[in-house]
Amino acid sequence: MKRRGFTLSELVIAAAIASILAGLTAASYISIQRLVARGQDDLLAASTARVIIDRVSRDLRQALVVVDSIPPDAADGLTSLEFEDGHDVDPAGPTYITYSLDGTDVRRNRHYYYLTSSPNQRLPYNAGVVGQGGFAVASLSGEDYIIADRVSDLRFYGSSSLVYIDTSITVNAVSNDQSYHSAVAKRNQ
Amino acid sequence: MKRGFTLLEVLISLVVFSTGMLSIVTLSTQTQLLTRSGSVRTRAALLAQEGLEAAIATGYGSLSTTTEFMDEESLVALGDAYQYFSREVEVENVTSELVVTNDDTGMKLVTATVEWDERTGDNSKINHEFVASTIITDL
Repeated sequence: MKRRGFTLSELVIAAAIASILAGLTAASYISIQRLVARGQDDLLAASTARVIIDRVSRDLRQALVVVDSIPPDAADGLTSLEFEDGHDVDPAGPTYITYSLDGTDVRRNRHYYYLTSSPNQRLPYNAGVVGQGGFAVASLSGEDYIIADRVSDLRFYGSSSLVYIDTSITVNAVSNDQSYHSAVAKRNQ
Repeated sequence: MKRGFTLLEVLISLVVFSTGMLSIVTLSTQTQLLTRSGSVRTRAALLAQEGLEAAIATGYGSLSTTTEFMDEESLVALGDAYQYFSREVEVENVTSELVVTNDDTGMKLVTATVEWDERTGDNSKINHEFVASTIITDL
């Protein structure tokens, strides 16, 4: 009986076909992985934008007085917005909320104005100039924190009754900038 | 005796192989389209919300029962991501049973509809819409 194995050329061809198949599989696996990662980045960007817009909307709807004068055009949009808190009206006096873009973080800060001579009495923001004549501002404890990160842009514009919010989220260097836009109407006119 | 593959065997293996490859390609394009549609929907929802907020800011007294229409051209100013959307904000007088009427009842129904086309796997387009509504009263 004659035993017959593979010839060298058969082996070479089989190896070539096997490596092409392995290469194709690896390539499609990598491209699907990339797509999934990209999709997760997009979803993270969308939920970050929602958090920013929803939190600003909730506070701004109840706002009593908007401290900043809001420019009408997006090009001049503010990167921080301060207004009087209308949710928890404190008997100690007015408190204020500022949403601001701090580097790539969006920060929410609740604070009040006072005179260093009577620190327990909260005053309106325009009762003096901070740093002059003992007029000062202080954050409420535990009320200065980051609500969102990886934010590349935040703009407030429009008018004091209808504030447009534009924000862009850049999850990482490879994912694209995701821009989101909405508006909120002040209810406490 | 030397024996190679028959034509039938080669054909069957080609079919099996190409079915596998085709499903991988379909999977990746479908994944891409699905992940994109999540952000698109969020964008549409926020646009609809903006339409309602604008109506609330206008206030009952100044709100006329007309349709405001924002087409692709005016939305494109918001950036490339908005170039495929269009929005319609409709204001109607309604009774307390939410039936549309011509009379000023002290209640207005505001409906914001955002429309966009989404590409599907076979390169055709499907029209999607996101509808949000609210009621504004004379109080």
